[in-house]
Amino acid sequence: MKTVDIGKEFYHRLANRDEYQGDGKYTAVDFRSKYLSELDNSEAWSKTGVFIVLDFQNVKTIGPSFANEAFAHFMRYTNTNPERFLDKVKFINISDVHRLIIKEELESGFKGS
Amino acid sequence: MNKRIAAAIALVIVLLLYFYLSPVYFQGVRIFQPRHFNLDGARNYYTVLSSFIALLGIILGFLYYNHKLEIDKRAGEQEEKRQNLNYLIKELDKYDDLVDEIIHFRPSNPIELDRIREKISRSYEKITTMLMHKTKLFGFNDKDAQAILRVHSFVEQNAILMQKRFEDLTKIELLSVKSSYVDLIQEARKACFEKIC
Repeated sequence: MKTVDIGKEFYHRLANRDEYQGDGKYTAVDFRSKYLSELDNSEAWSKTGVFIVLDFQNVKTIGPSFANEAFAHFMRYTNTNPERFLDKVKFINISDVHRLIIKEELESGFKGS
Repeated sequence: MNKRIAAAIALVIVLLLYFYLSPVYFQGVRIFQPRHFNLDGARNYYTVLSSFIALLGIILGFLYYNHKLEIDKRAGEQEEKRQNLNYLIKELDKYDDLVDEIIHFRPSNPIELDRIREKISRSYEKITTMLMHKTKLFGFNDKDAQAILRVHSFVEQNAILMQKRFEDLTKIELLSVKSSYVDLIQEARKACFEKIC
């Protein structure tokens, strides 16, 4: 189980879904491929236990598009159950509002292509 | 709380009346009734009673003062929350005006459309910064905050509103998102107004 300080190791403003949004940099697609690619299969979700801890202490902002692409993407493996996702991916040092933004995207489902 | 205070005051008045009047007018509870006494005895009795009443008055005054401080503090906090909520509502109105500009196809060129979209994003960031202290500033719970966040979740991820090129936008398409958007912004405003009232 690894811990990633997202703000330092990736970027402090998590805004873009993909290369077509905003300035196309530091996208959720990049983030997912860099840190969560091992979860992108059904087998990973049959195992119990925390896979990764995401530290939000240096994250200034997260947009709904980013949260949706980075995290709601995995609802396909959890039977649209956000709790199963949160059992595997832990968020620490995260503000209430950031937590709620992620929660909203997990509950509303994946909207990307 | 007011009923309890009123009941306590009524009880104290009844007890005081009893202790003042019982030596003179009626037979009270035997254990509390002073013996019949002469003028000096009566003077001593009422002197002690008056001192006791003065002390009781000081204690009640102190309790009243503390209670009033508590009420004033709560009223002050409520007023502060109301002002904060007014500020949030103004920002939501500003956000709504910007989205409305796009829905009703008011931008006259791509640059203006981009400018409005950028303003929407900035306005959202201001709102989320305020929501970071949602409980202290507004008395919001998670459900209230989510009602507000849901608006931008819809807007930001709506390709018609935030991504499509100016040349590809049509009035019909833009108006098609209006109904869903209006429902969400109304829920957000409701969350705010419920806290003001």
